[in-house]
Parts: sequence; structure tokens; C-alpha cells
Amino acid sequence: MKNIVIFTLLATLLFSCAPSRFVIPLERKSHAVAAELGGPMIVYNNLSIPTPLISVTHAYGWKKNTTFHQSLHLTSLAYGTFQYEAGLLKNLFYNEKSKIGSSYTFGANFMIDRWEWQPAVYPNLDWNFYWYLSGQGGKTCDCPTGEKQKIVFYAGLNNWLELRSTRPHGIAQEKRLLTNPQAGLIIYGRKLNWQLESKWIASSVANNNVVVDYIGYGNKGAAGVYISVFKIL
Amino acid sequence: MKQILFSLIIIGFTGCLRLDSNLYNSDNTIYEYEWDDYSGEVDFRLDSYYDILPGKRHLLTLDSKGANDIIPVEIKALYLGDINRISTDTVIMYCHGNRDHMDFYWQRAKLLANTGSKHQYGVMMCDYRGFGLSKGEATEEGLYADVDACLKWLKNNGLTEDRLIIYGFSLGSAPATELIANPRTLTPSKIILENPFASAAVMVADASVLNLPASYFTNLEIDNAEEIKKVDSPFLWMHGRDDDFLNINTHGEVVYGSHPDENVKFAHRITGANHGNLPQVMGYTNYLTAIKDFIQL
Repeated sequence: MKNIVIFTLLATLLFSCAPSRFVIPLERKSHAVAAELGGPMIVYNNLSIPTPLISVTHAYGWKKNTTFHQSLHLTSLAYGTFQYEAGLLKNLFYNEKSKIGSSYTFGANFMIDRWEWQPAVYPNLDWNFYWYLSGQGGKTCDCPTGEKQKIVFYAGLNNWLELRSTRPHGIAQEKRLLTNPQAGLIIYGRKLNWQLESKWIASSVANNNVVVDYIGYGNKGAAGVYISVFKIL
Repeated sequence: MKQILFSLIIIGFTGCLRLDSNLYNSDNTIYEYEWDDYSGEVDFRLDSYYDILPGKRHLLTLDSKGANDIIPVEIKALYLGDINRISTDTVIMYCHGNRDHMDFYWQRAKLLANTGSKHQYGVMMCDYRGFGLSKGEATEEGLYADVDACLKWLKNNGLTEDRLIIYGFSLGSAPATELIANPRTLTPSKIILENPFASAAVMVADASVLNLPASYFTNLEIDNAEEIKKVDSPFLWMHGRDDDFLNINTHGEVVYGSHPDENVKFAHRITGANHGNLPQVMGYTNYLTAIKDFIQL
């Protein structure tokens, strides 16, 4: 019964997830644009596929070590829901010798639909460690010609907070904080930069008794797969 | 101010995709019903002990006209029993789930026709519009109109409200609950729900993990948990504890808990049963006995 099409597309907004927007702050006053594709893995017609969530992002190096970013979720928009995400990325530290750093992002997702004008707000907190596997460390920027290509590995936690304490029909919302472990690679190219990320979405929530066939680990959550392309302007 | 204006403009241009149609997993590519000869996927198959007696299976063509229909929609329905005895028999109106067509649910209809003894009760079932050989497209209002078309036919053949039991399985819990909470042609005297869903809102909340508003995905207004509050008729609820499609806790228990009269509601929580195999796991004899006992209360 679960392998049928019913409500499978609900996965397209499994808490409207997206990859980490930016892990390393931009240079001050620089801009970047990005497009992201991917989502939780589901079983659809006996195939395992990532749901095709699409979003676009703009980021701005507001201060040294602080980047503002904002995103628009296009898949949500197609369903009549305006979903806007904004956040501030702050670098905690970077060690040039070890090429290891850490950053966090505090932000929120704001949603409202055109059908019943129901609003929703979800505060988010991302915390990542990153490590330059190749190339120079430091700030994110396009690689100058001749410089060794930068490749960054990162891993961390993405957290969503559910502000509502009750579900429909007055049932208590048991999971208020959803923690999603994530890891990814950022590959800097000469013109475009790429980001690949895997995320274990809702890693503490059982996935075996819901209408959608999510592919998780040990019947928990869903494995998310994302690819992003971004350009620093 | 500019940003607010920009946001409103974007909302104005948002898309109209909805997930409503995903609720109906119908198959309307068949040319005829095959009943016992159907070789497609089913939840379970009965042995010959449960066979329908010759002359007791009637395929009907009914006109269904809902509030949004300009002209009636032609639907197919099935009556198991003796049509000439509808004026005296008790009849179970079986509202099937969201799969394929009546061939998928044929085994279930046959099983119900063996409640008590073979053909002790009449059993009626229909393919909702868009399912099987029924014409039109499935809609929420269509579900209600199509089941009510069956009730009209039953009424025209002599059925009275005191002998009408309505039974909803899965998606069928929506028309069953709606038509006992907000009766149209006949008010069923009792309701049986097997693995019902609570509401579209719970489906969305279960699937999206977060408590997102249902309107982000669907315009469906199905709300069995709310509608059942209007019902004071006897209520039998059966749900598989291992239902991995409609969770017993988030769906079934909510519906059962919403029925207002503790004295006339009965629950069977079946350990080991999933969404489609409750009668099998419960045991056909136990299942039929539970239904017979409820009808004969």
C-alpha cells in the first residue's frame, strides 16, 4: 500500500528542507547567487529517488566573517506557498595551519499560502565544521587562475524548531526540535562552484508509519541528497 | 515596504499545483470487472468457502449527481444479495479504499457477504467516479455523491434507515463518516470504520514531520475526526496496530476518541495487522463475528 502514489509528493516539502546555504562566509561586500536541487529520498514507483526540491539563494558578505543569505523555495511556490528563508552565517574560527574552521547560521523559514493564508515560521540553527581538503584556506572566493583548486569537506548539524505545541485535533506535537546531521563537499571551480550534501533529515523520527515511503536509516527519518551550484559575483 | 510589496506580488503569481488528486489511486483502464477471475494485486484472496452464490451478484449502473455536477455522472455499483429482499434485509454499504477499482476490493465484499451466514446481509459497493468503469474524475464531493447514489438506489428498493449499516475502509472512511454525520438520502443506523484516516491535516502533519498547515499541499476538506463528533449512532472501529500507511495513533485513535458516546463505541486494535490485511490477521471468522455482533447489538 505504501508503494503507491498517494501523497508521495508530500515529500516535496518534508519540512521544506534544503542544503546548508553557505558554510564559509563570503568576502565583505561580495555577492553570490546559488541554485539548489534535491530533497529527501523516497520510494516512488519502486524507485529510490530524491524529491526534486528547488530553491534559489542570494548571499551578501555583510561584515568580515558574517554573511547574510536569503532563499526562495520554488517548489513550494509551485504549490501556492510562499516560502522565504533568511539567515546570518557567522564564522566561529579558522585555523590556517590545520585548515579547519567552524561556522554557524541562525535563520528562519517564513511560509504563507495563497489558499487559506496560513502562516508558519520555523527558526533554524546550523552548525558546521569545515576542512580544506585541497587549496588555500580562508574566505570563499573564486579561484584565481593557477591557484590550486579548493575543495572543502564539511559536517555538522542542521536544526529546525517547531513552535507549535499541538498538531491537528489537539494532539501534542511530540518532536519540537528536529536535528539533522549533514555532511558535504564544496568544490570551487573557475567559473562555477558546486556543493554536494547528504543530510539525515529528522533523524530521530520514526518513518515506518507514515503515508510516504521515506528512505532513512534504521526506520528513522529520511536520507536527503542535494546538489547546489553557486557563483560569487 | 518594498519587500512586503514584492512578497505579495510573488504570492499572487504562485502556482496552483495541489496534491488532492494523489489521494485517489484509481485505475480506470479496465474494460470489465473480473471478480473471482481477477489476477491483479489484492490484499488477500479467499477460498471457495466464501464464494457468492449464483444469482446473488448484481452489477448496477447508477446516476450520481453531486452539488458540483451539472449533469449526473454514470457510476458502477455492485449489490451482493437478493434485490427483492432489500425491503426486509439489513444492508452493509461498503465504501472501499483508494486503490484501483472494485476488483481490488471484491474479496472484501465477498467476505462481508458471509457475515453471520452467507447472504444474511446484503452488501453494496460502488466504484467512485474515476475508478474502474465509473465515469468522471475522482473528487471529494464525488465520493459523497457516489455513495449517496447507492443509498438512493437502496432506498428505492425498500431499504429503511434502521437496516442500513455504513462501512468505510481507509479512504472510504470519508464518505462513510460524512454521510452519517451529514445525511443526505438515508441516515445509516450504525457505522463501521476500518483503518480510517483522521483528516487531511493529519496526513500532511505525518508526512511532513513538522506541523505544516494542510493548505500548503491540499484543498481536501476531509475531516473524519471532526465529523464523527456529530454522530451518536453505534460505532465500531478496527485498526491494525502496524498500519504503516494510516498510523493507528495519529489517525484511528483520534477518530475513535472523537466519537462522543462511550457506551456505543467499540474498538478492535489488531496486533500485527497492517493497512490492507486486517481481516486476514484478525482471522476471517473473528472479523465476521465482530461485525455480526455489532450489527446485532
